[in-house]
Amino acid sequence: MSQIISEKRPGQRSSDVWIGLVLLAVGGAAAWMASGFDDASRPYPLALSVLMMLLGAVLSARALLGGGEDQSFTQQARILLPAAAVLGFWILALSNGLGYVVPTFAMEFAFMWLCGIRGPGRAALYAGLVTGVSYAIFVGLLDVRLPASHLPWLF
Amino acid sequence: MRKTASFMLFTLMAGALAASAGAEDFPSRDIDLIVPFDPGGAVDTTSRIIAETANKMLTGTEISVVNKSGGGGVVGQTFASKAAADGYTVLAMTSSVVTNPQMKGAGYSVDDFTPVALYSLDPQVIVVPSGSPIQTAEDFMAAAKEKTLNIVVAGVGTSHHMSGLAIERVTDVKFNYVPTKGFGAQVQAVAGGHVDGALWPLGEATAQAENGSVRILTIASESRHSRLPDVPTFQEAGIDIPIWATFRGWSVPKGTPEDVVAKLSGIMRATYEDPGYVKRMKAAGYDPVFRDAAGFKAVVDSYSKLTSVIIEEANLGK
Amino acid sequence: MDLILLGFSTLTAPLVLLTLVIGVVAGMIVGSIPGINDNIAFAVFIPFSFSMPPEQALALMVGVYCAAATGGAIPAIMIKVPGTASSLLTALDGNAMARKGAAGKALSIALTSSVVGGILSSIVLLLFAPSLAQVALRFGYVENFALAILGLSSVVGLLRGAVIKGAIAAVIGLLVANVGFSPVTGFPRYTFDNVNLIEGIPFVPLLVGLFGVAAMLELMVDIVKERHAGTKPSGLPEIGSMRLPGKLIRRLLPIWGGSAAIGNLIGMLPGAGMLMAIFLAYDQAARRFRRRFEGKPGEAEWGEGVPEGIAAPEAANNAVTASSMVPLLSLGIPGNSTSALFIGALAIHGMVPGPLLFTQHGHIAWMIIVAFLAANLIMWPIAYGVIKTVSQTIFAIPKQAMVGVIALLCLMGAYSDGANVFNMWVAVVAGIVAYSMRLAGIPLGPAILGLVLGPQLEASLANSLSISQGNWLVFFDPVSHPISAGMMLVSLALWIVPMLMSRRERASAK
Repeated sequence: MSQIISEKRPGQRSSDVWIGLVLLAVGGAAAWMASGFDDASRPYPLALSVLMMLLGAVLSARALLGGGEDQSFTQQARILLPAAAVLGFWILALSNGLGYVVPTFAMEFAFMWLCGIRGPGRAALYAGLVTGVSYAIFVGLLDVRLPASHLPWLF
Repeated sequence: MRKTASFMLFTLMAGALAASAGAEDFPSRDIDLIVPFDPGGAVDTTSRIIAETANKMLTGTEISVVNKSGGGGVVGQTFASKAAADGYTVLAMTSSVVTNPQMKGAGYSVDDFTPVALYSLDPQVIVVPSGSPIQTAEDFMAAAKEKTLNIVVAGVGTSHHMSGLAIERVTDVKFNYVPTKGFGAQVQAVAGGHVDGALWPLGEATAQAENGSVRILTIASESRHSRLPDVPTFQEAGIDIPIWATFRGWSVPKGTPEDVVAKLSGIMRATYEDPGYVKRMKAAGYDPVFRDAAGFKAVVDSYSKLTSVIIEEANLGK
Repeated sequence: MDLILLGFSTLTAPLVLLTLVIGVVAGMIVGSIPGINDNIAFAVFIPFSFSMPPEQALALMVGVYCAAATGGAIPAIMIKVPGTASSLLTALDGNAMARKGAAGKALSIALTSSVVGGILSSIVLLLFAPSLAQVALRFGYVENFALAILGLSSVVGLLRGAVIKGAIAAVIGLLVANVGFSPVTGFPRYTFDNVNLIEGIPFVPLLVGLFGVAAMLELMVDIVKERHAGTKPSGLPEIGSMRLPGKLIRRLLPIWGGSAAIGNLIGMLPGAGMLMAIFLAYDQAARRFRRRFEGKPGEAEWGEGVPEGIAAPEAANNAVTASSMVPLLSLGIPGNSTSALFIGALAIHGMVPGPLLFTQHGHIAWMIIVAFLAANLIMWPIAYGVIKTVSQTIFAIPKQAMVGVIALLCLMGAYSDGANVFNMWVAVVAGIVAYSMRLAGIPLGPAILGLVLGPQLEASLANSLSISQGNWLVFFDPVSHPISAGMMLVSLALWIVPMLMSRRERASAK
């Protein structure tokens, strides 16, 4: 719902072209998968995926003809990828038996660092606090069952 | 913190325990009762009533209910099928365990579980809106012969849907199934008169019948029910199905030592013999029963035989 | 009247009243923590309630349920991270207003609107529950389909110009709602042989991802950008004065009335839900704002800090809470997924919702109803206290340290819903997708509506056609389905009126 107001930079193609193409591809894949569904389950998803392809095509075409908005995705990706990686590593570590405390501390530390809290001591202090308090709340108070850990002495 | 402590104790003594996991000292730590559904549902509620009663009798250890939901029960059931076969992971087993491998592509088979004890049997009933002209089971069958009735079921391939298919097999009626997710939406459809009838489990149907929104016509059990003495059985109503009931019970992963299974079964029996438990289950709308491991196995096997034929004939499998 | 007094006397037992207060405080906190919602809170609480007397357990649940919908607005306004899904629209105008230095005013509008919406709907519950419950029964498959269409149509008013991207968003939501076993035949669609997807993408983690994780990513990108630009990181808005001028209250009165009415009606209908109510209310408020205030001096743009944009969704979401209990208490049909959890809580104590609850456990039934009124009445001072103390303290934490905390809360919240690691992946992926959509200018609102209404749309269409033997005209039949025909007409009007208006504007501009 948030309106991203971006001005079209002159001499540059609108990013809507690419968004349209992505929708076309996703819609195509969904339509292809839907064609394998049984008779009663097929029409609804098929219609939606074809609609998505159409809308994607319209968006691309409109952008090529000079309308549309532009938004740099590469700049955003440089910020987002590390964050996504940190979250992914945390889930992997937690679900593969490294326990709660070590991965959580590492994740919190990483986020503090990414957000510009400098000084390892300060970041570590914050990360440690968050880890401890969250463990007390989720495991101690709310009794959430964490995945089994290979390092139970570390919690 | 109790859990953590016992877990640490466990790791310290893991080797020793694994070697001598005999039944003499079972249970020596907490038992996890895996409920593969969200809190608040029928399986969760009954499991908690059982755990609370049983925990009063157990000393030093307790049964803790663990909700592991997802995928219509398959996630928790798969988790339980892969757990250590030491009796400390018990699955709250429902009829869906029998059909999920065929219907939903679950990775286990019903043989991966050893039945421990049965605590609830919910026979199938046919209900109609209370404003319906259909008064009796005979009316119902006659109406069904005349035109195709619209019948609410919980979903395609559910036990209720299959019970309808089973009726079609033994009589010459055909139903139009209206799959409706969620019991609330089903009540809305039936009580509002938007369909001709529904196939429901007795437990939930009783409450609605007492509320006056629906009428129970016939019940798929061998004898009439004590709470509904005027409701004929399927066979009395001319439907040749002696029993069709969903069940709830306990099971453990295959390979669990027999004496451990017997001990768990004993815990359930002791629970069943507690008058407070019976009262509480009845108040919550469930009829407590008890069958030991062998009895439960017979129920599971017969259900499995009944449904596998229907799944194949109706081509419901995955 | 005697019965209401009975409920009242049950509620005013000191311990019961105390648990209600605890519930309101807890709900306020649960609601204001991104990543944790009332569904998750109940999942954790129901096991505890086992050992409590039923009066206390239910009073606590009522408190949590009412207050969570209000608490969600606090982080939505302060950091643009909705605490619960019900405050996603509040985040737009609310946060914009806060950034302009009027955070206290925004919070106060949200709070007052919630309380007013909640009280109006509690009164409806108290006085008209049994007769209104019959309305819910009038809704069959045909009416539910028309309702879903009406819900989707409510988006039209929100789009303004970005029609294609709005339509894309709705299609994305509807398509994603197809994941899982087909409601018609049970065929697995888009499940990739993953058992976690059998019942569709787990909904609670999905919402946590779409709101919590996406908002956390946005917060982080803001911080990093500020750092790169070399500007001093902007702090969080100061809360400041929470006084509401009388003129503003008079201006919001019709919004409160309208939104509460929408929330009351939608809340009663099983299968519609809180999200649909807030969208419809928001849409109505937007139309009114455009007619009366837009472009006048001193008025912000819609979405840039307009009081109506905060008042409408907040009044609507609290109106849904009490009215979702109308069909539950009178018929045993839950109005939404949260009120469905009351069934479990009642069952644990050997009670079944429905007319019998009133005859067999009348004191409990009426206590629940009175508790809704009481919870909303005590909510104002409690919320005021929570904002002035807890929130004031929490939002004094540097913004940079909050990103990691919100991430952790979101993932743990998603995980707690069923103790399933898969849920955490759902939340992360949904967060990244939602953020990308935001970048691409594809609005999230229509996608959410598509997600919520999608399953109902297809199932009710298929069942309507199956019962009517393939007759598509059944939805417009004024004799046998007048409600459906009426809703279809309103939906049509929602599409056509803006088109006509813009044509007339263009014509008059010439």
